[in-house]
Amino acid sequence: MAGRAIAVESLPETSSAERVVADVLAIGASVAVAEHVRASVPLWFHTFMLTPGIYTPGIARDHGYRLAVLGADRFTGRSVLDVGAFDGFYSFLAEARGARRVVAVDNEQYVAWVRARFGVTLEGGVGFRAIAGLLGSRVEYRRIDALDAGELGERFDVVLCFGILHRVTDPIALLQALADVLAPGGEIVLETYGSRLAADARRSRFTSRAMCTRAMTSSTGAPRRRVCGD
Amino acid sequence: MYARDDFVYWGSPPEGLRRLGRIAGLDELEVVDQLEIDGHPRILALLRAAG
Repeated sequence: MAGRAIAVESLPETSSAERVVADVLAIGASVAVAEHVRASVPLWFHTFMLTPGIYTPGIARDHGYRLAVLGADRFTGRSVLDVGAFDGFYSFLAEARGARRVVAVDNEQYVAWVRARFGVTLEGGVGFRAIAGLLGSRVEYRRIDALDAGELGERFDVVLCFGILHRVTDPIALLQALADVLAPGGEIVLETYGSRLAADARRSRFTSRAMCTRAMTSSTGAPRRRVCGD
Repeated sequence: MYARDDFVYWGSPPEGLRRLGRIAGLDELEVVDQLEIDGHPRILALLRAAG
């Protein structure tokens, strides 16, 4: 039986801006170890500076502005939950900047995404474990969905939620799940998609992109709808 | 975030995000930054429950 041809993309180049971000978490491995670790993971999401001049080729980009809220004053002595951690850059950064406990969670849906988009077979959590090993990190990694953060059975002073809220079908449920694991006085550091529709600010809580309206309608089993205007 | 990111359901203006937070008991929203990247608006914010 002939297999269906699947179009895959080539991996994008790491931007120089991401190397600047990576430099705030210098790992300091030997060149030999750095090269081995870099090659041991078939796809990196985050860019890590393994040793001066050797970076993981992360495909994430344009997130340097997050650093403005990730100083040591945010983490020192606090407990941190990083949801949607992927390779764990922000988890390790929190640890390096003084967090007393860090838990990283990811549902590892990216495994299917990476296979579909780039044709790469990736073991869930492999990048995270590689970096954790280099750092001798105590960050705890759990494969769970952010919506199930309550299963961790603990509360956190800081929850990092980067690039997730705009991707979930129920953003209110996600915010509620994260609010439920906040310690008194705790805070969620959130980065998500904004909206250009200023008029929405008067009444709406969020706007939906047309293609996603189609996707969500489809996922409910409803008949196809035509989206009028985007 | 990554190039040609098309896996996006929602976008929220700051006031919309504030309202979402309130539903979840997060009464305080501090917008740290609003910027446009890859042609899309982004928000960086802190959400806190009332003390």
